Amino acid sequence: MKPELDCRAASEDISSLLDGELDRARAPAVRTHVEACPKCAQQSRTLDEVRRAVRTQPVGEVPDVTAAVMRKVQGQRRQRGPLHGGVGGLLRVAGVAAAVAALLLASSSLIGTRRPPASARASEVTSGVRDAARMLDSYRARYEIVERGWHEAVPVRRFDAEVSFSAPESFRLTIRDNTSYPDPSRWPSNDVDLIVNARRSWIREPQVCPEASLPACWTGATEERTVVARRPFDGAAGLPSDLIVPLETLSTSDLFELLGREQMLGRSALHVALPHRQAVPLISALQQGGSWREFSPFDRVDLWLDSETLFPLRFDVRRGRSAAGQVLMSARATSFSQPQDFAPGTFRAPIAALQRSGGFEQDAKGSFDDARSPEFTAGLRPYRAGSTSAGGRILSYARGLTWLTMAVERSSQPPRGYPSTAEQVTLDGSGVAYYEPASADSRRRVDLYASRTHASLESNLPRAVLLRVASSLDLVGRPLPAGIERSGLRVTRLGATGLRGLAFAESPSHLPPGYRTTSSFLVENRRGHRTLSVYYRRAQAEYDGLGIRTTQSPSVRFLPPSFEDLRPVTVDGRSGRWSSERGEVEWMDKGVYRSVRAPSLGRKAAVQVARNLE
Amino acid sequence: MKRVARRVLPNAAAALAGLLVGAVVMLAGEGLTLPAFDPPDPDSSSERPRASATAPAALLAWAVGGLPKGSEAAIEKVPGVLNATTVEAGLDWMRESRTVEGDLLQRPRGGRLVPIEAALIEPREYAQLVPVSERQLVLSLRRDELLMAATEARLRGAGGGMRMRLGDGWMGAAGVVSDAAANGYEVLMRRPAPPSWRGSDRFVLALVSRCSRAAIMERLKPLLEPGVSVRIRCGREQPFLRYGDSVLPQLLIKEAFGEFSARPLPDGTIAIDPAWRRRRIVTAKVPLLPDVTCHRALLPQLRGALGELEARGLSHVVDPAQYAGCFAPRFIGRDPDGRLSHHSWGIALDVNALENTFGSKPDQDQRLVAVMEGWGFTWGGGWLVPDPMHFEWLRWP
Repeated sequence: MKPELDCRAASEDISSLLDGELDRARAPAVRTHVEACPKCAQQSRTLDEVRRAVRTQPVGEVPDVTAAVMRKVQGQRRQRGPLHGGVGGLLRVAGVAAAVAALLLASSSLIGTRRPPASARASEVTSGVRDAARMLDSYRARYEIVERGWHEAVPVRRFDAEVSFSAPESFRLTIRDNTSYPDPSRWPSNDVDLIVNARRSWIREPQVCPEASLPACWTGATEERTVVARRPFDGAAGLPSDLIVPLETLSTSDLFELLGREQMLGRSALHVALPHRQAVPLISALQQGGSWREFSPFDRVDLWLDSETLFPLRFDVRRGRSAAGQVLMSARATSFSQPQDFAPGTFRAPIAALQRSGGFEQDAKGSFDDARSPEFTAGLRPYRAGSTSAGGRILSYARGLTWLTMAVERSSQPPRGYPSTAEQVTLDGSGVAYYEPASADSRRRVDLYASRTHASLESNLPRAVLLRVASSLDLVGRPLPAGIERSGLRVTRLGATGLRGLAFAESPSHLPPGYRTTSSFLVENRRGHRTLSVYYRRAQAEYDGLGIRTTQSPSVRFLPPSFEDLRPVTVDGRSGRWSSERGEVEWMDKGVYRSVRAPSLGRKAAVQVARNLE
Repeated sequence: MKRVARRVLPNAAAALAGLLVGAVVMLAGEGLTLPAFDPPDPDSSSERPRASATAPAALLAWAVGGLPKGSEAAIEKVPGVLNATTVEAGLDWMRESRTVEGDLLQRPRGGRLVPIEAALIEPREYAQLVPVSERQLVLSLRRDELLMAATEARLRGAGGGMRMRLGDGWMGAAGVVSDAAANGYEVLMRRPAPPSWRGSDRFVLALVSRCSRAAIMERLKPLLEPGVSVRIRCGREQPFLRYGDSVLPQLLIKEAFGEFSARPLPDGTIAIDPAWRRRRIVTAKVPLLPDVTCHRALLPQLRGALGELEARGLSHVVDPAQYAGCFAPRFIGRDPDGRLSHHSWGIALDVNALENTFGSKPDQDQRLVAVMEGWGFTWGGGWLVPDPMHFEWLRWP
């Protein structure tokens, strides 16, 4: 029987399938593929064995490779410098990571090739990171950071950073600027403090001014701000989670490359490379406040994960796509540990003069015995529950660094405004929902519009798991109206059939890895003018909030005027133009206006998608 | 360098308490000024798209105080004009903003408000001038909604779905469009002007297959008061085709120098948040001039420009006795129904004022102008109504 999925597509799903976390709609196809594909069957068996071993052994009985590693580290530290590996606290995560490391070796031999496909191995790193994040209760690490090119008068800046975490949502990030500024009294020291706990978050940072006029513009002032009455995991996209375990950065295996195992800082490390646009959660974890240099979405990020714990040991951002590019920023761990306790006050967030309320009132005794709560919570434990100032209800669940929130409000009206570009998905037994991948401001999100109830789930769980959580709600999501009228426009959400019925519509024959059609809209005005927009997004994350969008219209007769700096491009022999501001290529194709907007992919990739339209 | 997005914590400008600030008395008038650099030949650059029937260009027409009614129809009669639309630009004041969930984003204290530069549009006509992929948002804009420019969304710390309480009540953000689609304005709203607006600047945008400046001027002349000049721009002569197009939009001034809250006062001045002023406005020594009170971020290039004049033996082109100020929190022309002077940010200064009064024939040494422009200032001497004493920040050097 010919497998319907290819190995690359099935590889990442095997892990979820074994965990019972795979979307039920997709599971049969993956099972079918595994049954028919010897390579994936072997991978599945190996992964299953390792996982069962890890999960059934008490933590203390996990083969303790840490002690040996630590002896080695201690020895090397004397020789090489201060890398202070943690001691007992590493054990639990070490167990998972050891399994992943073993799996990397096992899979490479069992699959029967000298070098198995990188994507398959990368998928194992992804699933290993997910497990590590789930099992992490506490963490503390110190980093040395070197940044180049922030300001022409200050070519190099140096920092020490310390990050502490206590599950599920206590964070502390301290950054101290050790830079030798030309005149220290005139330059802002980029010292940043961030403390987040269940009730409050607080940040202190230097007041920033236009870089071109530094140092004259700097006032010497710092700013402190506090959020009180925090909603659970409010602003979680801005928390330094990925500095602890790069759960979000490595959430999808098709956009990073696993380069192999290397020695890094005296430890065995897995070397991963990926573009900055994919590594935003990791890099921005250090940039919670203050002033930092910017990076291009295409700059290369090299990341070394400790193969024992999957904690980041080092990451470098290089100019351009090449491994030989100049290192613009480098962060190296100098120590990490999993402390049993933190000093009193570690996560105490001060109350600043500038404050705002998150509008959340926590239940004195969190009640999760709610008919609206999900039956399946992916192993996450009830955490905080309460009400919002607007009368809604919020339930949250967490385990380690992994979390889930559900906000429920009474609502009989569909959402107002232009239709969301979220992907319409069919849940198993719970009707229809609307899914959005993680963005720079939020994690993965699912919205259900049931009778008189709107439920909104947000989580750093993978897409398939989050959809399964949504499916377990005692709600039946209803599709939003397929078409709405707004100011003389009819906006219709199209399915695949509707899309095929449009003679002028073309679809890309090839897309960058991971991209697929997620939603399509046809806009018609009263005169019959039609414009089609189709969105293509990856399953887990689109940090620019858009992904790829094509816009096509037979009613637009010419490229609209623009004041922007436009670059001429050619699409299949036709003259077009590229707007770097919008990240969009536009051209006229036999009387049809077409454009491809892909702000994080760049001109070449956008033009390539354009040339693949057919 | 990157100002990190504050997802977790509130914006600093959100809640600073303060006192009234005395206005710096200065000569008024820069607001009526409009740039009048001679427009470059539209065909002089091979990079610049040429207007044609198949690829029209955008055309802007505006006059100080606004074009009279009927201008749009008059312009549409000119051969080569495919269609035209009237835009009204003005200032609204934000009292409060909230997230899509209803949580408070910002509410200035002390009775202060946040100035928001808005453009009022006819969506169906204006949509022809924006990127096709953003037209739906423009076309579906309702009367109780606004569209935010991308930079404005960053300033507000929120995007589509957030709500702003402006002078006439709550407005919901129907979406975020590119700064280009918003033409440099902070928000787009539907015409007509809200009741609280007591003034606006009317201008016309048009799609043209050729830039017929003379024909358009001829058509507009009967509608104009005697002596009123019209500025016509075509294609990509300026980054944004908008009223008063030689200075940067308020949106970009805020982005570079910060946003303040203020209380408009009947005398045409504004009482800026004293904390904002205390941190950003400084009095400092510079070459050739008496002590200046400006935005501290302006000082390096101001010192650079004046220092270059001094080094080149051109000190005499600046008369310190005729320096007329820099920071002045007020409306343009002290008209409380108008737009804010960029002197309010402390990023413009008036030099040799007595010999270069507002509206007069410029009498500045052109070497002074050249040096200042070289350091990133724009000069008001070439504006539609000349303001030859006025030099204003345009870019970093």
